[in-house]
Amino acid sequence: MNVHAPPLRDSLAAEYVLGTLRGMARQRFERLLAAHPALQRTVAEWERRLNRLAVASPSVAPPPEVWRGLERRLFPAPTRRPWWDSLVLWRGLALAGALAVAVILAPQLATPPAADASFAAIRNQQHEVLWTVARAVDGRLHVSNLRAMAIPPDQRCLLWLKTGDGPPVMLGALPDDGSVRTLPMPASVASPTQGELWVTMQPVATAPQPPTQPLFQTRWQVL
Amino acid sequence: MTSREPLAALLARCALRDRRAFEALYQQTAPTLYGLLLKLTRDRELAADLLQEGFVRVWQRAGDYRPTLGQPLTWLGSIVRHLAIDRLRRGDRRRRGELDDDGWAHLADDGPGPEERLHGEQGDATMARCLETLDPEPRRVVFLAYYEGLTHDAIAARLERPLGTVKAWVRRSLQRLKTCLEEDV
Repeated sequence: MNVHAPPLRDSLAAEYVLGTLRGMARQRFERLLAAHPALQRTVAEWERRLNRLAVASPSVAPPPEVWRGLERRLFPAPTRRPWWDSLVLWRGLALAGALAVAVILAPQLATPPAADASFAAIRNQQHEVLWTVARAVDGRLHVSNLRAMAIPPDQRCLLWLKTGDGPPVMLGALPDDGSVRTLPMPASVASPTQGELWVTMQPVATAPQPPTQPLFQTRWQVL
Repeated sequence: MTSREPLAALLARCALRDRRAFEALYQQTAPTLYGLLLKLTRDRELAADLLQEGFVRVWQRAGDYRPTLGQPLTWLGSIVRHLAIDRLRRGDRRRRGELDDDGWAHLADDGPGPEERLHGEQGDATMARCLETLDPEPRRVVFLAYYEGLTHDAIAARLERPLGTVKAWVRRSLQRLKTCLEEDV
């Protein structure tokens, strides 16, 4: 079958998505699909069209075993460990912190670390560390994203400092591609290591809005 | 974190491995997707298996969702329906028809049909309008294929129409839907 002929490609893709393409024809189509990005796009377009019908399905409560099975498969019981007992975290320290620690220690090798050199780990609900934040004595923040995350391109993660009852102050956008970024501390912040660090996810297209609640939050640890 | 957070926002948070967002997404969408799978498979156990498999993929691929792929529920529907059709077409149909209790009768006959649901508050008025441009029999053919997963042969037998007629109805209905939906955007 000549899948490069657009009308044939289109009608095969449509019947593939609808489910009426079957038997040998379906298997042949699937083999071609694996090798032809144009065909994959045509299938995706038909999925976008035909699966609009999904909203009109009858609503039936699924058996509770389905959710329980998902929890078992996707979220095995967390093994809670103290925050410092984590290889990932120390790897993060090595990445982001190396810079900061160098800045902290280099000028004062023989003196104790400055009391305001601070560190924070931002974790998700499974206690996996997503970002580490190290504050150097010059006040700048070295933020490290410990693993690249599949954030939709129209969204971004922002870091905020929340102190007292006022609205949080934005510190900057967090890297989500596994990289390290340096953020200046806004001059308006009186005590940068007080309070909580908040993370939010917001659309790229709109100006950042101070959040009323965070997606993730953490406190500073003094190094 | 309200229970009616937009599905796209929940999917975006699932991409961040936010387990609570995943749970909220499940609570909001699983009943519709389970209903879809039950109608397709007529088998509670198989439908539950496919629903679980589908949500494992949703968790793994949440970061792949783009608004250009359609509404979130359309995208979720694509994932579970693809799994179901795959399973049905692999010949795993021996258990088909097992769901002959009250539940199936309710699903099959009572309550509003797809047209009414599409016109409803959570529906898709454009899709409803485009379906109305089809004649009743070709429209029924689309529903039998989409919601019940029937093949050309099975549809021909159900409607007592020649196979060639059914195939032509399917082909023409799909093209008309495409044209109509594209006029809308």
